[in-house]
Amino acid sequence: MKVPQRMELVEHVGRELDRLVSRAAGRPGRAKVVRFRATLERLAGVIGSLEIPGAADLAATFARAAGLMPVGETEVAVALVRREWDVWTATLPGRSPGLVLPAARLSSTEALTGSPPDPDDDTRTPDGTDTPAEDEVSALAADPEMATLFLAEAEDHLTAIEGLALRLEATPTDATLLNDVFRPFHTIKGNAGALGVVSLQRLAHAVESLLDQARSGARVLGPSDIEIVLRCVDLLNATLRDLAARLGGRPGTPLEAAQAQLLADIDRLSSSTLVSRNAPGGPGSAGRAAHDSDDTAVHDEAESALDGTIPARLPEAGRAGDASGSAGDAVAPVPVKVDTAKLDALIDAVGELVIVQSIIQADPSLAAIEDERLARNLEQLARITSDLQRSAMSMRMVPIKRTFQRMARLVRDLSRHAGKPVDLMITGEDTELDRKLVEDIADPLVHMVRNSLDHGIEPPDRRAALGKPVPARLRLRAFHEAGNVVVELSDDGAGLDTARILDIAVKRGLVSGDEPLTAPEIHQLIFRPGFSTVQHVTDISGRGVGMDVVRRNIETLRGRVDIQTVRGEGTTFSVKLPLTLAILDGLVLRIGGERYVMPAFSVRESLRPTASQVHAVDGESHVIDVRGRFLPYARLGDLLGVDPEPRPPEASTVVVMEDDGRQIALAVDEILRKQEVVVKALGQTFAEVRGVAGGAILGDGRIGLILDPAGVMSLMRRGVPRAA
Amino acid sequence: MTPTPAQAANAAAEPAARRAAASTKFLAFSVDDTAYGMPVLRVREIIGLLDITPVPQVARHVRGVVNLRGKVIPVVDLRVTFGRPASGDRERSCIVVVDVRTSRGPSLMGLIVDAVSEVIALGPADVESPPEVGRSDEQGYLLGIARGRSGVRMLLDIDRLLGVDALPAAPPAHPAADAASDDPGTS
Repeated sequence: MKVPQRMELVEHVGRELDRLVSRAAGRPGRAKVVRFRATLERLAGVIGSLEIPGAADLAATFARAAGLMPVGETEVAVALVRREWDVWTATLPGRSPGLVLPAARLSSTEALTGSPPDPDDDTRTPDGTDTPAEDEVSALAADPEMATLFLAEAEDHLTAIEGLALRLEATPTDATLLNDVFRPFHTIKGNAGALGVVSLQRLAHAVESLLDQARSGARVLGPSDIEIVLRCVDLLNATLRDLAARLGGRPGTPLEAAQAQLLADIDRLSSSTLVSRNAPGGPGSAGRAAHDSDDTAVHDEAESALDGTIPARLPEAGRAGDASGSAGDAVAPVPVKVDTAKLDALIDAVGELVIVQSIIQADPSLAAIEDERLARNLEQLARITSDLQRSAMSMRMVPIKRTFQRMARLVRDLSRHAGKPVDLMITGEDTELDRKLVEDIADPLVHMVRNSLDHGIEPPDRRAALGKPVPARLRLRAFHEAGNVVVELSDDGAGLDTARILDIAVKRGLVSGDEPLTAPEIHQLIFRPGFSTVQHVTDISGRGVGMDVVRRNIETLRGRVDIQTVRGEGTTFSVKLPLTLAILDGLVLRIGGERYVMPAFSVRESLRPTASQVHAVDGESHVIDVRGRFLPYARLGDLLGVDPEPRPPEASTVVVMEDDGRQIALAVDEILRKQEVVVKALGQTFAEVRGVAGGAILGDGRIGLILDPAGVMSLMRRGVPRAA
Repeated sequence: MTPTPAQAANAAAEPAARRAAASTKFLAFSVDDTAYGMPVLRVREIIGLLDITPVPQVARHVRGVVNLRGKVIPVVDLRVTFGRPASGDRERSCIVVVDVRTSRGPSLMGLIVDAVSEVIALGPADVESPPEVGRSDEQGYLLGIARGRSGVRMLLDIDRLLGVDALPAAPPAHPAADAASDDPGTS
């Protein structure tokens, strides 16, 4: 570009800015602001094209100002841009005298702000006129529907960003990832700006600039950058929550300090020496911790204020899963946003429909009608109801991905905090479970992850001494199995010390010490309330409160947690949950005048025994000979504590029930049928009842209690009670 | 319209407080010849004695569960709750479905009563606070004692009476099934 041309452009920009300054006076409306923004962006483009030193930076400033143009602060923002411009043009060589800024121009800026603007003052923080928080809320409150939509979408964006940021940490130069992280911030910024939510806009913009540096190659993102991005996600989430609260008339939380702090930190980080360092290798070099790379030392110096210790490695399998996901995107179904209350109401209604339909179906007076057409229609009704039910149930199913993503974040944070590098592998994040389960399983998982990192995984020097790879391996898996969802957490840490656990349990009075316990039973002791092997309170795990909450929570979900461990090699926690809390495939049994439902997946077989198959072990216990194997035998009615008329074995039916690898034989009066039942919770009143997990409404409208295999097993272990 | 002399006389006879103060409506019912009342706003519905499915290992006053149009709700025998001698359900026995609020949230519960009579409006002048004497756990569930023309009526605070926090721990159904031998922390 020839010099005269450049000068013309400079003059042109100057003139445009003059116009902008005068139009920005007062409080221009939103439409005008949008136009100002567009003008500034255009000017930024023009400046950027000038091949003059410093032009690029100035263009960036203009662009930033354009992005930050807040409603109600246009004046000040424009004035500050003007000031930047003036300062810069004053340094231009060979300017024509026409560009020397007359004092009048400077003073107009002062007139606007009441004081000479601070040259160091960024356009990001116009002096002393921070939009009061109330303005933002009232801006949003003006259009509640818009506000709700905005908040929900922003939250979705932030969730997406979090997951991507974790992946970005492993491959900071991945252009697609960078764009994928950049775009949602840009969207949030734009939406927030359009709605006048300055705080969000500023934060989003700040991070966006950082990411932009990475996109243009001027910067390679390091752990501190990712840390900042994640902090931003957290703070943006907190801001969203705060806004939602205040919109709902509830008190918010003051976040200005945190926001200012984050903005300052981002600033410091952005302006720190842009060091080019080797990106940590991709999946292949997952075993090496970042501190092995030579450049980290230099990087650390620049960011010592912000950097923590060793970053956790990040889910690689997750990316493999995503690759298939993006291939599948071409045919991905378009989701629809539905109010969860409406969805729940629909599903409840379908549940009721199923019940009524089965009651009608079972009505004896209907069965007496010999009409082929009626029979056909009833069958059709049954089929459609069944399909409807399946459909409704599937609407409640969501992938466990989000929960796993939270875990990934947690592992990263914990691992850095504890100074224990961790290699986390996640599989099966697309495994679907009931929506409620996905939320409820999060807490227990958090406790288990913390427990693993605090107690299971050894510190790096110990691992090295033991010849174990220094980054500990943590595996999180989810899959379906036999009507259940299984979520497994395994580590290759120290494993459980069976002897020590028993010791502590005895000391705490949890067990007597002379009853023989199998190793799995001893391991389950760690879930007892009051059990803890921690001598002191660490801030990761806290006291031994975590693990008993885990089991209780999981049992509330009708699940169970099993432990497999090898001392010195590691531990696996296996959480088994029913696929859906709502429907159960069951075997309906009769004891006396009442019906009970045994979950079908726990039934191994049934038989009509002869008296000679049942043998008394002592006065109370019995065993039954089933094809050469002896199984513990009891009358189910006795175990539960209901009072049927006792029947001899040959007049009963025996059901072999299995739980956790053990089988027992239960005698009932009759097996009625196999049936899919809708599970109804019994409620808090019955929380302490052992062996019963819920109620099912049967065909005739009466209730059959649903049996809980683990509970029945424990009743069995306690021994058959004496007849009352 | 001008009141008749009889109406005017009645109005004058009633305590001024009753007219002036806001009154609360109570559902009047009886258990074993004792008159009770509970705030009518908590009453969801009144149904006949349905098939009650007994649930094992629960306290004696919990008779079991019933199917209330697809919802499974627990049913409590108030006669047992109040320690009356157990006798068969009477002809007019029915289940009053109430909305109980506990620390864990609201839930529905059915109460078996001997007879339900009417809805009465009671003002503060009609209700006395329960006396302090007697076992503290008994007095805890009374909102007050109402004095009416037909006698006294015990007004129940159903949350206190029936809330999970209030229900006594399930006594062991059998000697061997003692809860203490298992989890020490529960219940």
